[in-house]
Amino acid sequence: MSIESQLEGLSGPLPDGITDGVALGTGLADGYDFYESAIGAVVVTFNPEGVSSVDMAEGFEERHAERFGRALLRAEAPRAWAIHIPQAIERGTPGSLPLDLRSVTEFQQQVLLTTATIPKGEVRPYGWVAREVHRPKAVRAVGSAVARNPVPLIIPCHRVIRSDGHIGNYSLGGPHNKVELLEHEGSIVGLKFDPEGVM
Amino acid sequence: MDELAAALATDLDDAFPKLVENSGQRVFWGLRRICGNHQEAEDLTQETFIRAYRALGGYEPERIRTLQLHPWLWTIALNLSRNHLRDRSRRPTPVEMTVEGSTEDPEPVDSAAWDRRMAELSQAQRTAVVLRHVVGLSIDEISMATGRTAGTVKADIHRGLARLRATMEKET
Repeated sequence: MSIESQLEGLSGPLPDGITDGVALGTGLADGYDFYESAIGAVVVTFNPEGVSSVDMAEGFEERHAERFGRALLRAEAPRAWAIHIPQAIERGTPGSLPLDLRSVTEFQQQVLLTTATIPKGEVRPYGWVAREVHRPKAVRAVGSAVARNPVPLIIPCHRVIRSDGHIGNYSLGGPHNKVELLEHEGSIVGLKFDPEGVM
Repeated sequence: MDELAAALATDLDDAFPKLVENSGQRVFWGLRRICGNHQEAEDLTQETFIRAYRALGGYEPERIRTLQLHPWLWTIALNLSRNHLRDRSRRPTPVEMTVEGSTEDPEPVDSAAWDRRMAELSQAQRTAVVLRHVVGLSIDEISMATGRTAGTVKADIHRGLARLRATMEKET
């Protein structure tokens, strides 16, 4: 056999993992992994921009596809973020963890980043957030922005409540999870739980 | 590939997986032969496509449409592998922990023997021989990818093959 023919035979199939690695590295797919939280197992998705979503584990694939339209691949979080993700979930603040907030508008990003400043153990009314983003009359729009929070627990939207003391709705599994989180953080005293969850 | 370039120009996110599907295997095995290490070639292949995607994202659609995708991908791959090989030569050689044939991904049976033979070639000869006979690029495409003239590429291939033949004769 000629040397040229031998060289032509010096290949094989594309190794497993490269296609997925490229999809994750380009951000064409989000990686996901499971984490524990005060309200049970949650799924965290991430891409090169940062953490893109936090959701309850059950049925997350469909909700992710509907909202983000990207493929999902089971993966370990990038090494630089890996220890920060459980910390961010436990503390209820992103800290140095990068977030991918491209799925919300600029105004909604402002609302969410303001929400991220509410300390653990404290709550704020929607009107407070509206004032902080210099749109004091936009309380309803703030409510919508909080409801669109793609990274609940890490951006602690459960710390935003109604001004009348009702806890309001919660996108991550319903208002009973909001109650559980606020109880866990010791900030439930004096708040009213509205089982209807109407804002 | 012209059709794929047009598809990339129209919808990068939709068409890019097709580029990986069409070219991934040849890019990987070309890099595998050039750098001589399976794992490093996997990493370099991933990085090549990630950089290609980022670059395409910054190009005007008209530029993407006129790209010759194979030589263009290889410009990125060769640049990465050159930097990688240079960095590797500055680090102490790690002890090889994997036993031949023990990698999970299949390799041709005489892979290690070819690694030894390829190591005898200069980098330019090895690159030209691999791109021509393992990857299957034309002389013009290799010239575009390496920035060397077609005449120099032909000479690199000719000398590289002669060197490989001489090495193989010594083995017998």
